[in-house]
Amino acid sequence: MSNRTVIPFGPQHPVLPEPIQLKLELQDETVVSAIPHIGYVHRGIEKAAERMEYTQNVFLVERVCGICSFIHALCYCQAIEQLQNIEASPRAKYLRVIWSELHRLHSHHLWLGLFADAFGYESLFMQFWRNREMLMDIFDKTAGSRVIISTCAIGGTRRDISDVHLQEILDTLDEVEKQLDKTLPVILNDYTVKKRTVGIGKITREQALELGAAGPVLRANGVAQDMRQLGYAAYGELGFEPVTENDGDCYARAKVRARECYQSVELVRKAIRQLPDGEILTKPKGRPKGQVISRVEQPRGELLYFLSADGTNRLDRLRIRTPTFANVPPLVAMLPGCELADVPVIVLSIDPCISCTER
Amino acid sequence: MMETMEIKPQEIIDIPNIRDVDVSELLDRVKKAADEKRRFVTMTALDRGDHFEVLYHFDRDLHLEHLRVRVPKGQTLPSISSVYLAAFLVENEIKELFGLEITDIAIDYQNHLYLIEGVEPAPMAKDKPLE
Repeated sequence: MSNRTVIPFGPQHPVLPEPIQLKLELQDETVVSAIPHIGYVHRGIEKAAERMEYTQNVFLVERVCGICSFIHALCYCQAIEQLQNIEASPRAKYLRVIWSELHRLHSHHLWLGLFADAFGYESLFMQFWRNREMLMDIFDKTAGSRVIISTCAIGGTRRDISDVHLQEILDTLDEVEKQLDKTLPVILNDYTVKKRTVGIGKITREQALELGAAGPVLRANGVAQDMRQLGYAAYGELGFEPVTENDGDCYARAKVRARECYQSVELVRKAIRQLPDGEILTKPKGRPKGQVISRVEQPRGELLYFLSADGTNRLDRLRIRTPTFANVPPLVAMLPGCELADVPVIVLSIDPCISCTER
Repeated sequence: MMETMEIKPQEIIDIPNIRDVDVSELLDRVKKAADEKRRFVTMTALDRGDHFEVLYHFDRDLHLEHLRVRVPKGQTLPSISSVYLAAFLVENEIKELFGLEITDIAIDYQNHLYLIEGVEPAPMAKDKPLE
């Protein structure tokens, strides 16, 4: 006899630290369909951006997300720079890569810890987060703040990184890499983790593209698409190639992020080796006018800013499309057919950031 | 301290690769984009006073292309979620925050994606106060 029920999953759930609710329709223990519900933390940042001056918005957009604050500011500043027809200096472009990749690295560590915690591996969770602390200390040293670092500015960067701190970053990355060598195999080769992730929450390459997936969710389906390929900041000079996996399941998404950790370490090392001397800030002239789209790669995927400016000191419109917003429809496709116990792991596998999603 | 001086607005130059389409031909154009394997990125709504501008952003191999429809206020816009299911979330957002009626959305939250009962509708509309 069939037993069909609807279970509200979230917005508060022991495994899920993000305020999203899924209304799960279940046939016994199997998920038949899922309807996502958000709206618990919407802040109206796009509207607030119309009220503030375009220069003040740099600080506003950083607050869209506490995990990738620098990358939001970078996306916005690049858009304004295009409208004002100015270019950041070569040194500023490299500094932007360094801070962006350190953000990706700490974000992936945060996620790997949460992923380990989802399986009950609390010690592993703490080891990933201990590793992450070393990265947060770099932000503290180079920017004076751990979360909202406010180093990106229209026309370049607000701060430089001294040679002493560059060496400290290199030393820290050696240690981070050493720790990754120890901890990543535990999560990627573990029998239980594989049992819970291989073949679970699987979507096809066609589904990923049709449903507008972004970032590691897209690349875990073999689609080599990463906004860093556009060559913004100094990525065009660093020989960047996207990381891909082919299986489209939770394990593949975890592997993409694990491999991207090493890639970020290498990108920062390369950027420091090639860091040119020079100014860090190009002074903007005039006011922004026109429409522009700026895209960068967040830890969770493609971030898009659309700006419309009419030559005044305030924007006519700022539109922000974050990667988790794009990954909600693919999530809805991943859930049908899975067991109820797999839902938290599948939701975590898209690395949801509802703060970004709701702006 | 916030500067109070305002400069007179000027004509806004469009983003590149944008094609204007009529509401009646929107779905055909979107189906064509889907047939050409373009990835749906998102939509953007702009309040232009007497009408809305809605932009549809598509990507193929890292190149963006856009469709733009102009919808007079009080008229409806058909949902593209029957072609790109991924659009359902942003269509609900536009419907709720701008007050543009979008019809036949695959999952329609009935103006309760973000807003709760008793909250003034369409907070992103230009006639709503910024404070």
